[in-house]
Amino acid sequence: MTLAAAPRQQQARPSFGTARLLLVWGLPLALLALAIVLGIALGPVNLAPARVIDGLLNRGEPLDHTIVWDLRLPRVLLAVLVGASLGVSGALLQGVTRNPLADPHVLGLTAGGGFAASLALRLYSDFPHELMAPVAFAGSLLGAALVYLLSWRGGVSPVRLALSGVAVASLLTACTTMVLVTSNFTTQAALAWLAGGLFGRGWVDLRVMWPYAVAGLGAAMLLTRGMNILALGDEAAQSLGLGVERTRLFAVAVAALLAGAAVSVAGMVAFVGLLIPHVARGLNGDDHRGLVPLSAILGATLVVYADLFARMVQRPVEIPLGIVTAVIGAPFLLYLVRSKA
Amino acid sequence: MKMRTWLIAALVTAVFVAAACGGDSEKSSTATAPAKATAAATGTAAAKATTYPLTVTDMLGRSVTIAKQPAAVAALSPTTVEYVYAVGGTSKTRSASVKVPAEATSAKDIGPSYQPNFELIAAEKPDLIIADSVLQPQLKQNLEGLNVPVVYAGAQTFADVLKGLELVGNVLNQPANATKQISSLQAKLADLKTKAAATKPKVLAVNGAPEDFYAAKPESYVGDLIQLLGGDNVAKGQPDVGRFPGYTKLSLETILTSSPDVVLAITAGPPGGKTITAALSENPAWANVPAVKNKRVTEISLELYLQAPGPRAGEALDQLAKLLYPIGASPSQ
Repeated sequence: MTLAAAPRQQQARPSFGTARLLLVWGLPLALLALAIVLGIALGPVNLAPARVIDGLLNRGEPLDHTIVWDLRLPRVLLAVLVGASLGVSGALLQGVTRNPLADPHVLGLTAGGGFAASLALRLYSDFPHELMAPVAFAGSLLGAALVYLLSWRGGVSPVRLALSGVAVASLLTACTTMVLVTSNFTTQAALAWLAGGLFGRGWVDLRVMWPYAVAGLGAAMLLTRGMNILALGDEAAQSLGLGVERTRLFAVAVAALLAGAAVSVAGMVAFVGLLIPHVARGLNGDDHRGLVPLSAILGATLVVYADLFARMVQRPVEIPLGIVTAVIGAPFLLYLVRSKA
Repeated sequence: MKMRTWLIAALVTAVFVAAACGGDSEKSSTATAPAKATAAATGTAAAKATTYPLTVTDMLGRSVTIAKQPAAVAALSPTTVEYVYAVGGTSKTRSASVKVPAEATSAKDIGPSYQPNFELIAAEKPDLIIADSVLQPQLKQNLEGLNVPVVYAGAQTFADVLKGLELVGNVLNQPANATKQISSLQAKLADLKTKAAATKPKVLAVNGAPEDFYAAKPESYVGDLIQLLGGDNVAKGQPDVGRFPGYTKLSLETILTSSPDVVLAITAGPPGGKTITAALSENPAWANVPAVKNKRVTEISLELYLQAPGPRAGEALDQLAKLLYPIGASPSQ
């Protein structure tokens, strides 16, 4: 949703030539597939392609299986889910607020999840992995609920939603920083959490996180028609028989679910939720039926490449994923802004 | 309308109460750490010759079984690498900052100890992983996932160093070497204690950057060594503040009124940058502190007192004793 986007919404969709179809869907899917292959094939330990395949199929050395199957594969799959979740969460929020700057972080959702997760780690240094996703999700919902209540005045206006989101995000981020600064984590561990990353994540985390992510992505697909109508403006949507408040609430809740799922495994990963919907819109236009799945694919692609970069560029030291996405994301967003002007 | 205001108030309150609870839990979490360490001590006591399969209780209180004598050991932090070499073993891996002993620098660099690279650890095909119980407890699940026995050892106090040496000596079948190291450390401490003067100096030990430093309490490693040598720590009894357990933040006023006789500083920063020591000596506010007046403000080794607590505790005690008391040929600087 660009600033002037709403009225353009339900124009006749452009005819789907094969070339266009290839560009919009084929290219991102191919890039994602390549990202996944590279993510599994590359690591600080150099493995020949044959050994990677043997490792995947568990028919070579046990060591290759450990490296490829237990260390690389779950991490790549997590990157896919984190990226897809953040991309779709951003697309929903930008649609609901009709604000191109909305994203799960700006609106207090990742901030709520991050706060809950850091608090849990702070209170119980041995906090079980499998409870992390529910806790981060609860935090995201708490953030979303705060934002929603603060912006409710006989209904939620997109502008109030965005403004109270920014306020709640700052408050919760301040609380998170306080928890981390006063806690007994070593400096680097705390900073790593704030900057986001998939260090040390594996099957355990994937097993916990995927139901939330998949449920959220599915729910987002169900919402796309409502989102398209909502984009026409509140009055028009109401006259078309859409439950405006209900749709908005549902969309924010799904966005919170997705943001919570992402935060629970990856901490604060910047810019994906903000940037990806813009790229998807550039390729596909404003129709949420295409925008939502495309945001998922592009978000996944970005995070898989970013995580690969994070673990390879300075090996054996990992740089935080959130820094990589910010470094890629910020200039790209500026480019998009300027090319539209 | 009213209802909604209450709801918002309740949510905001919940956030702050939760944050405040965080503050309270600090004490309880640090209080349990020594208890665990004590349990480990009794568990591993008095092992003479090692027979395998061996079951030990490590310094996180975990029970670990080692099937046969380890042939490829992967130690993951400065402290654990030094334990391994101190008892006569070798490690296939080391964390990035390890410089001592010199032989260890040829081991595989697996990255920083707070984020070691699991692929590189696995690639060394270790049959025993020795992880750091102070720096790496959060990596337990990841390391156990490598299907190699994981023993945790670490050092937060001098007593921990003795325990760590005994434990590592035991699992590597080098109990004699460990015993030798332990008794030499104990003898060193006893000797320095007899040389300590009757008047206890008031000591402030800090760690950080010139603009932002934290004071070591007796619960920290350097604080423990100071305490053992009879130093009177001015940060004693303060709550934990900051990211290092056992450290607190003292206000400048508190420091000035406590008038320390000795200030020890660990500056963690780029080499060649300004040290805490230099900053203090230049700051007019500090001019009347006894330590500054008598030029007893000293920079101490980051490695020896913060980064790599462990078998070099003897060296660390020696240097400290000379800074606290007029011992031997080189009195306090």
